[in-house]
Amino acid sequence: MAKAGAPAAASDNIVLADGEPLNLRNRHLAAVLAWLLPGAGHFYQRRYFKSAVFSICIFSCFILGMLMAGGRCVYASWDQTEKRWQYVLQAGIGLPAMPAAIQAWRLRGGERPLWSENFMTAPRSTRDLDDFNRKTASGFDMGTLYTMVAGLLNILVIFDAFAGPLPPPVAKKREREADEEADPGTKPKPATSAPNVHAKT
Amino acid sequence: MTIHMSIGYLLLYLPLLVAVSLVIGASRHEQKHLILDQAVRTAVWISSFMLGIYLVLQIVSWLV
Repeated sequence: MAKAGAPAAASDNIVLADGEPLNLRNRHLAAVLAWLLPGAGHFYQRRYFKSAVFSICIFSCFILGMLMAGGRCVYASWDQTEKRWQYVLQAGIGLPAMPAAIQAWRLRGGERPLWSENFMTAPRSTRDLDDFNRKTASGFDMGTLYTMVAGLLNILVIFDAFAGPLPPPVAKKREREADEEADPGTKPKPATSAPNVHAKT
Repeated sequence: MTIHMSIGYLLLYLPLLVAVSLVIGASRHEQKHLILDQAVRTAVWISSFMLGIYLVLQIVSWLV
């Protein structure tokens, strides 16, 4: 029985989703596109509604976060001033967070920032970091949270572009009932995974 | 001691709730109505969970 999110035998790029076959086209390329720009992978796969949902939701989160923090919450830094682990999650959004890595790389090499010194650059000292926080009040923390959530959500999107929709969790009781309904003569097997209840073979 | 809620902070929770619910819904289904249905259930679940945490904190704050 083919499941949603699992490759069917006929082709590695065809999966069952909500009972319908879904062509993921070149799934590796789609995953890379989904990382680079949220929604781009789904656009390439001609899943236009999902592409719009993903891009609107994720870009809105990212932009709102940047606005709340005055554009200062996304930056890469791993030195004595600050170990910015949050950037690892923010980088999940792909290209929109890349300028921070470029700025950090240039500053580390002793060069001038490629863009404005206030655009995605790390604070130079702990005093600068305190200033960030003081000027934006809680906006700096909220902006960091919003941009981190945007990056994390894009990881779900990358997975969806690569493998199709995740099977929704199904209670074991409901799973047994579905098994019995499908094949009333056999004894139901113990549940090992959550099947997509909408998938039909 | 009472926990004071700020409406401003609560408003900050709405965009996140909408975005997270829709993305989770869309990552589990392909059809529009199933996506929206899953998004609503996710939003209700997240809100209930947060309300539960709020109530626990409120009770603890009354006791202390």
